[in-house]
Amino acid sequence: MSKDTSNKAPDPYYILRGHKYHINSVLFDKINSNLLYSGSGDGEIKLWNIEEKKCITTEIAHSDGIGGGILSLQWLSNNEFSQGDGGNILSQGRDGVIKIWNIVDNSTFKNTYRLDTNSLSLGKCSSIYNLLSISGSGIDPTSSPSQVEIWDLKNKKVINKLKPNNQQLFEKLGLPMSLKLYYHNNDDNNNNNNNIDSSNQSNDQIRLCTGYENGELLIWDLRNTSIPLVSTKLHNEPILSFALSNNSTKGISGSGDTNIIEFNINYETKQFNITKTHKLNNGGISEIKIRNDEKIYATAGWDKRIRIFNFKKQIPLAILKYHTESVYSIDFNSNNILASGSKDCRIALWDIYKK
Amino acid sequence: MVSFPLKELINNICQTKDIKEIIEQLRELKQSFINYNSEISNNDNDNQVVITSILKLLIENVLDNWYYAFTEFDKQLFESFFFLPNLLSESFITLTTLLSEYSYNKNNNNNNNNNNNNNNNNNNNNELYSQKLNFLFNILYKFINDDNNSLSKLIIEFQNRKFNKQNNNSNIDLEIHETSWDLIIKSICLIPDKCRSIQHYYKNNRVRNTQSPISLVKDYILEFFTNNSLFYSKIIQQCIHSVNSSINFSNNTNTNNIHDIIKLYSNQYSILFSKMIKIGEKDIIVNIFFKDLFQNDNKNSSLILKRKLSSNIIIGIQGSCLDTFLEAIVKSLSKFGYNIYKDVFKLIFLEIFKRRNEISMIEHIMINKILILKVMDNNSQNCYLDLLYSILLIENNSSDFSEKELEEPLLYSILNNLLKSWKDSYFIRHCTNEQHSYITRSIIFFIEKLSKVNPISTTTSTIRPLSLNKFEDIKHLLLSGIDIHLKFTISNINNRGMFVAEQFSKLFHNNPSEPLKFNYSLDTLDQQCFSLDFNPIFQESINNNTTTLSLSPSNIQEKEVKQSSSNSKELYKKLLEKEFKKYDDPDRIMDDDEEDDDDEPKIKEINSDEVEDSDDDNDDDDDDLKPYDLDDDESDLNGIKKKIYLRDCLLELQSQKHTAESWENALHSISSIVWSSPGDLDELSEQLASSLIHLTNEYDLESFSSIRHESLVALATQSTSIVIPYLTDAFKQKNFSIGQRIEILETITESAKELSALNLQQNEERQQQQQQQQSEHSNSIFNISINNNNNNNNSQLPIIKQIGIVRKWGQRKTPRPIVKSNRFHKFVKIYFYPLLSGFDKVTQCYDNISSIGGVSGGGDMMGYDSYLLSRLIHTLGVIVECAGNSNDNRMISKELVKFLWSFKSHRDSNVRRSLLYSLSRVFYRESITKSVIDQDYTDEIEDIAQFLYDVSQSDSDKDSRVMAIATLSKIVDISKNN
Repeated sequence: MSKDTSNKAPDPYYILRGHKYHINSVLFDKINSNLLYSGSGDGEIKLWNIEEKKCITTEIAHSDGIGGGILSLQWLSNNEFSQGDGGNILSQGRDGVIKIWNIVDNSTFKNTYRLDTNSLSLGKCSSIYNLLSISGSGIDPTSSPSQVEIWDLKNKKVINKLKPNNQQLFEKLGLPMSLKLYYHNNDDNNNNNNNIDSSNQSNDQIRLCTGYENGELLIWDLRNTSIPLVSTKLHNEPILSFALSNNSTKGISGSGDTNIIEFNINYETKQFNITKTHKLNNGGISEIKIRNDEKIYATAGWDKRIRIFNFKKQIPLAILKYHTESVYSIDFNSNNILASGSKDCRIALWDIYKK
Repeated sequence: MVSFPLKELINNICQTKDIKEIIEQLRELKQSFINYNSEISNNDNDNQVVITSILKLLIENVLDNWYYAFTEFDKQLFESFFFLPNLLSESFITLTTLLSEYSYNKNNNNNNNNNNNNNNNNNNNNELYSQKLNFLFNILYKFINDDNNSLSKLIIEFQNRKFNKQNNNSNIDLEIHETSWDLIIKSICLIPDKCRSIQHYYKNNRVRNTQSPISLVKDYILEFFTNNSLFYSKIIQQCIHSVNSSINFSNNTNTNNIHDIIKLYSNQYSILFSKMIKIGEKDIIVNIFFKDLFQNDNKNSSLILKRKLSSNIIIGIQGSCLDTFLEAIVKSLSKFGYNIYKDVFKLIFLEIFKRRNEISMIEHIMINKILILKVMDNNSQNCYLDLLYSILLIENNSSDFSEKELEEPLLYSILNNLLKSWKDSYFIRHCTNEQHSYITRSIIFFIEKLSKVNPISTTTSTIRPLSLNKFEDIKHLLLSGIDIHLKFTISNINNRGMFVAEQFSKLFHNNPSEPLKFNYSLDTLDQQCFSLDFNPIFQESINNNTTTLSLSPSNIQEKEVKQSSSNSKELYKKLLEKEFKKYDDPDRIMDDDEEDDDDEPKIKEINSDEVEDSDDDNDDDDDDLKPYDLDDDESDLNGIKKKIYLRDCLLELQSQKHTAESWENALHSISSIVWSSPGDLDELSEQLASSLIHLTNEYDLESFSSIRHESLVALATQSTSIVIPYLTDAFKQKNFSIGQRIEILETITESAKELSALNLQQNEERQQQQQQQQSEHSNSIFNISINNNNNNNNSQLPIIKQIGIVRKWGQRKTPRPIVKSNRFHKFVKIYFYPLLSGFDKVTQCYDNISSIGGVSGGGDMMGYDSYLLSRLIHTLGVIVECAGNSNDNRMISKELVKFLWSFKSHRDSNVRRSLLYSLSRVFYRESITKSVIDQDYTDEIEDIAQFLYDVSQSDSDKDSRVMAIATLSKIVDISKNN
């Protein structure tokens, strides 16, 4: 038939309904790609099977109400907390409570761990191995709000606090809005999540990338808690989300302003070099995810749209429209299915560029 | 009138108890009937009534009591009463009226009233009824569906009577005016309906263990009466029979009379057919009457007569039925064989159009309604166009030019009508594709014919040429139509415009070597209905062996047409199905044809993937990631932009082109813009206020009234000297509704408060309260941290200070110091006096009062009017309050008291209440002193005090009592203090 109809960006192939509140986080199971977790603002965590297209179980994970609800879900790759074969996910409540859930028989949540961090922040935490990075406590007077805390989950203790000793820089940063802990691998090997356990597990290679309220993006080496490795002010508004490539040489950042910025990381000049800026008409990128094969990446926008970009060519590929409210969270699974969770309480499943 | 023996006979029949006597008497009766009939056959209506009543008596007495005992021969005797010559119409009317009066309810009532005791009686009744019913049906069946052709005889009989009458009295013309023919037609058309309802009744209300009365009636008779097509086709056949027989008869005898007979026939049948068309049986008339009337008749003279008859019938058909009837004829033209079309319908219409002066209605329907407003399939249209063309030809040939023909040739009016619709852009935009194609085809057909007109030689094979200015007229219309079509953006319409343009240049241009040529295609799906083949194809009946051979190619062609149309239909259906399948179950297995569509791109994708896999590190590996359409109008996001200029808002509200969003947006924006007091405010404020007051909640906005109110208050406050006079004036105008008036009063009240900073005062108090609450609240929250922070000076600083410029939120605005200023004093006069002056026009309270001449209170002020009055009084009170210490306050207070005094005994509690409120406002003023009271209210103060006392003691409304006491005590206070 005519070309224009075939070239229209596809609609989602399925919609998962069931949440009664804003969906703050969606996360695919890294082992069983058919399992999808979603956490909402009323504290509910749901497990979906996207093959059967149904909700398997629901758990009230965190208290609801003002200051309650789930802020983010993280996949736990180590076996430290697992019991049985199922995966583990970590849920971060808006009240700073961290819980770890073991998924038993792919069907039920089992709470195995709880940590009160007192962190009252907007930033999603990040964990790796048994470390958790989270923005500093809002109540604890000894911690400043710009500070990032690194917790040892096993011992439930703060083992590191990251803040630049450059007072001028520090005062401007504001709250940490987005965090990511990752292994830095100099060999540029394909560094996917599964071989983290087998690789050399020392703090030496763990780095933290943090986006701040003032638009600054920093990379820290956990060994040096006072001087960031790389720092550049990329945005004029808080950095809400960013994503780094597996070899951590490239990345994309999104913020409250109207830019999506692609950058290279130059460790020698300690700068992020902006390679491409995508200008939008309406700002607000709440999450960015690069697909596992690093061919494309997707952004979740407050403008109700999901945008797909070609990661290598740095060109926009598609604008996916379905949601009627801001999109808060997206995730790819290993089969290249894209899930998006939105303020409109729905999860959309897309099979765009799936092959 | 009735001769003695007849009377006696009937009396005897009614009274005799012996069956033999009855039969004897019946014989006698019959004989005397015949005699009697021949004597008075040429006389007036009274006879008919007598005969009808006798027949009725016969049925009711003889049939009910004796019929079942009759022998077969006697039965025949009895039945023959209804087939007496020259009395047919009477007997027919009697029978049908009996049938129509037949009520099954009687039976039902019996059932209800009689208990088991009377069961026998009941059964008898049932039997009797069924017998009667059976008899009626049988006789009627014989009447209509018998070789005797009683009905056609009846018709002829009717005519004969008419002629007899005319012979007796030459003044009577042959038009049918009497009700008797109407009665006959009504009876005919009533039979099937009545039969069906009887049948239906007994089907649904079967009484147990009893036979339904209708069961005696034979099935085929019942079938005949309840099946419309059987029944009416028989009726039509009877009609034809009557025509044939009288034509044959007159052929043998005198020919002069025949024209009168035909005239009468056509008159009769026009009335009959009108009725039948109203019932919905037009197809039977078209298919049977016209077809069979001309069948098996080769005599030229009779054919001419029949043609004349038919055309007269059509002309005579009543207006509302004519429309549907003509349409039915036109639509079924192609269904008849070519011979029938040529020999019958074409000639009938030619006959009709010979009398063009008398048939404006038919002409209008044919060249306006059917040609433009209806849609037919292409073949029917072709037939119709052919018919019209042959009419045009005859116009040329006819020797006598009527005035109308000269004035407005048929071709001109046809083309004029067509082109006027065709060039109407509103029509083009709103008509369907089929309709547009329908009209365009007609236009092409006629301009082709027009172009062939040779103005020099007036041979019979062409249409009469149009006069030059008429021709230019048509050309002009056509060109402007083409112009509009070429500018049109819808492709199929555009293409048709191009085609017509090409035709035009081909047909009318002097230089045919270089005809206009456009680049377009008529092969698209939506042009399928736009066929350019104008050859009519007529369905031939299979019996016509002689013609099938010659016409076989056209038959094949027609089949092809049918096939192609069905093909296209199926294609369309498939398309639709495909469209809808998308929304079905996503797990559904794909259809074959759907897969076909997707096959190619899939293969490509796979191929490219394979290539990519082989050399993964290649930079071009994501060539398969083809971008989708990235157009994004973001229309769902842009709607919220607020308007900046008042003029935009005004235009938005006034124009009809707005969307719901933009309208809402404009409405929302007004108040904020007005509060910022832009430069053009005074220029636009009155218009804005007027359109706001008249605004209706077009899009069912939830907060419509509050938003409107806000905007109006803003306008009244910011542009007081312009808006308030407008509002107070509008309040008095008669063309405002009560709702609008209340809105006006509320706006006035609110803006007065706003201007006098009364609201501000209240707000301030509220704000203070809130602040208190907040500080308490914050203390409780930060208790711990303050305690903890005692040691650490640094962190005692508020978070805001630490971060400095970074954060955009969280910084509480310090409350601005509020300067209270009463700006209202300037405007007191323009608020107060206009309201006071003309309110009576809308609250209507003085209408009665003045006429009565007292202050007795308006009895007519109940309901809304008094509510409005109470609002008005309240508003005046508020104005007095808001006036505060202004210079005018004393004056207006005095005026107000005078005004209020006239309503002191008003019956409506709302009015009393607001009256008391306003009084209290007067006496609670800060500036009031004893001296003021003494000076201003010397005459009234005693009465006021008394009135307040009375109210406080005896009023039914508690609030009123309280207010009265408070005001009274205030007055007392003031008088005491000074």
